[in-house]
Amino acid sequence: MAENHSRRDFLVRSGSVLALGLLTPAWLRGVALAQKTDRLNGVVPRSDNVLIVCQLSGGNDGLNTVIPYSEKDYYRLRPGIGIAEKEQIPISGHLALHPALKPLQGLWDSGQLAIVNGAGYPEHNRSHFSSMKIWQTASPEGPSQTGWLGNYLDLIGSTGPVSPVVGLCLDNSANPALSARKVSVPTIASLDDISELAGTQDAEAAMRAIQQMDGNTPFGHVSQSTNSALDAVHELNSMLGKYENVIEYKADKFSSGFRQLAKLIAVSPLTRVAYLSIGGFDTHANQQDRHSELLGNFASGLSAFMQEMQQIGMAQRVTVLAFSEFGRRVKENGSGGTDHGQAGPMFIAGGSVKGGLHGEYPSLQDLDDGDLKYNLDFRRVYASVLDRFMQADSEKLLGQRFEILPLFS
Amino acid sequence: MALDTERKKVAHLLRRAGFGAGISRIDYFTELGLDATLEHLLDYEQVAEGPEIDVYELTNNNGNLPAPIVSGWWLHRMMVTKRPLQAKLSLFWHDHFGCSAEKVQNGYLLVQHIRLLNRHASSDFRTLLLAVAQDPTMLRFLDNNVNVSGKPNENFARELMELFTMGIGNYTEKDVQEAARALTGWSFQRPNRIQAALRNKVEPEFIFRENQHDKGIKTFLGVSGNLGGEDVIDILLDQPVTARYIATKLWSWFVYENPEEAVVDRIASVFLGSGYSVKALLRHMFTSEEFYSARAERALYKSPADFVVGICRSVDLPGVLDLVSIFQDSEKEKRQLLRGAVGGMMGSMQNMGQFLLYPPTVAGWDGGAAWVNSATMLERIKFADTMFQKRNGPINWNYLVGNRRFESVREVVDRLCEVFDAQLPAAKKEIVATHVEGLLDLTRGEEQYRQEMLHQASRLIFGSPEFQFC
Repeated sequence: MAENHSRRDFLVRSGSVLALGLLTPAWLRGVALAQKTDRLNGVVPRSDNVLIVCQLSGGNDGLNTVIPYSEKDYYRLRPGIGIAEKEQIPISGHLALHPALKPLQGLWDSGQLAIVNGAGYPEHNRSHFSSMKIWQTASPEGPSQTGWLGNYLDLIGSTGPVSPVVGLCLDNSANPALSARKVSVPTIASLDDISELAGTQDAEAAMRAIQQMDGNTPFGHVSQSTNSALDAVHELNSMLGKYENVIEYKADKFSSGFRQLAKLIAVSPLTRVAYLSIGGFDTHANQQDRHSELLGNFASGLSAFMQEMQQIGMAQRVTVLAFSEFGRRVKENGSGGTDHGQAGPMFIAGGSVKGGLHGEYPSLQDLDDGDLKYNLDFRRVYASVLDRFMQADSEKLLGQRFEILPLFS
Repeated sequence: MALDTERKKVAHLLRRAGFGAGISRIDYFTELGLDATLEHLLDYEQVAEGPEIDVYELTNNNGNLPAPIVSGWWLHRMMVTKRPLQAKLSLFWHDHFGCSAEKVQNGYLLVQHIRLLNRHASSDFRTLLLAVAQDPTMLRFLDNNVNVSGKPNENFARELMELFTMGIGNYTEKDVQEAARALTGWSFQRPNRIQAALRNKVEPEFIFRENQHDKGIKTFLGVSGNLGGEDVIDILLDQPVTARYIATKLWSWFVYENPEEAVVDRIASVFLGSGYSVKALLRHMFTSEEFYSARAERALYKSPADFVVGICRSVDLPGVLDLVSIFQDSEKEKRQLLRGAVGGMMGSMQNMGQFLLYPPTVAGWDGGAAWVNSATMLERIKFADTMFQKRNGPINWNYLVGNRRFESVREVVDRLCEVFDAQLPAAKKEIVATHVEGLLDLTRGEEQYRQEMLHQASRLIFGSPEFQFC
């Protein structure tokens, strides 16, 4: 034991990196400095708002989510899986919500939920991966190395160091929407086991020490990535214990995700973007129960989240944007499901959101290869959120100017 | 750091022409000698493949073979095969041809596809390319089954040039259209019941539908005539740029990235001169001076397959599981044990960014530096938890270090670095040693201390920059 301590003491005394973990992290000093410089230089203060993007992976059946209930063709083309009119939740003279979305009624009634119909993009792609990538990188024209949110985070990072959790992807695989050139956005599968990931202070210090290398070797990229992960885990671990959720959530993936994000927002003032993606929407067969369950979980998770934001006084500063990579074929298939389609609805919720319907619902009589035609480029929604809510220059971030939708009051 | 001993060269070769090896395998091959090791790896046809799980036993209750199960089956093959180079080459070709189970979901087709890549892994490139071009998985993946006269679909024709042979910039849009016309009618069909009974095979097979073939004159890369699919392939192989493109890609995978112009000239001519023999090219590469140079040593980022399969092979995980399974009562339990273990490995690899059979695009995985980011590094560190956290897990202290006695913690760390073929500088081994010594306060009893020492030391080794390279 004595020897053990003396060795450690020696390493610390000799200026070993083991001591690093105990000091104020460099980024924190950097952030303070950058904010000061920004103010001094008269740069417009960056927005403190937080954007949550919720990705419904697999292709959500938009036609059964926001239903054009007055259309006879809806019932004709979907004799098996169509939602009976008496079960629907009407929201206009023409449209109704799937009954499983009942938990969103409160947000809708209080004008905090906007629905954008017919969202899509030109030259439609029916591959999950390709279409999702198009939404994530906001680039239907061709591949892009960075994501639309990555570009935003790079903009924040362009003036100086940022928090290691300025962006966070709550997932087990990195999301292309958050891929950035400069800023490193951690991907964490669950915030619930963060203390386990963090390990002891000694373990963290040893992991940092092992990252050290001499000079500029290819190891630098590894060290940087690991240190960014350690920074994020360290930061989260130090904060997350300070708050307990004040609203009860269910246990499904949506609810659990929203619960963790609520906690993140409550404790992490420097987080600007967080991403949640939930799969299961690829309903090719027997979709009714499954789809209903997914929508129900989405709605109750989102509704609980917004309630919690309200309670902690963050409702005005948080917006949730939900989308899916495509909608589904109008006509149901032979196995009680639907195949990949095109346009679909997007949901935008939050205290600053101007609720209501946006965009025209695509016609059921004028289909493209059996699919709803898009009539609103999804990048208009991105542009509106970036410009009006995140106070960023959407033209610069998206590479072109899109017409802004009145999504925010 | 240089590959200055026979042992170091052998270990380097095993890392590249396979997934690395544990101490005893490196010992064995060093004894055998570098040249004989190379022949053993290259002439793998002479080596028995090793035990194989019958993939058709893995069907679910509906008789379907889900794609992720096939991925797991393939991963298990990589872990146990006695022909590591063949397995690594199959992975190279999977990355090259990029067929994804996201689109081709039929497990039976995917098994057929993997077996094809495996069978022709080191054949001449024409044989491989033709076999892949006529494989139902590829025909379906790039829609050539709907490429018919009068309604050509250019998907396969384009990738055939852009990704599979010449690389972008060496052909015109007109060439794409003409090649697509030449490839019309290449499709697949399910064998009828008599054929299925006679061949004991139900998977769809290639068929040339002559009535859907465009019999007009096409002009492709300067050659005119009533060209067919095989003509397109032959014309592509006549282009010197094809040999350069494929040879460079193989070199970048097996030796180092961005080879010098002179190297590319040389390997392209070796490749062409051998009639596109992949094996001849590999033999040239693995005997070249550059392969054993400082530029090549530990210069390639480990892919998740290198990382996971490498660790599992170095501790002989499948062998251990086999031993453990002796204690299971039924075949079903044994299978479940294996499925559980391999499934866990698959999950780790997926989180590290490489889900076998699900390459992100037809261009395969980005690879190289793109394998490493904050999330994948956390995953690589966490892999030590998967392997060693549980005291009653299969890989315990006794298994890894036997009943060897150690004089110091540092000796244990040295031993572990050897087990995992990790090249850590002395100062870093000291960091590991210091950290695991401190665990004494946190554990109860010697057994727990030993297992936690193993677990925590592995975390540090797996998370070290040095360990991310092979």
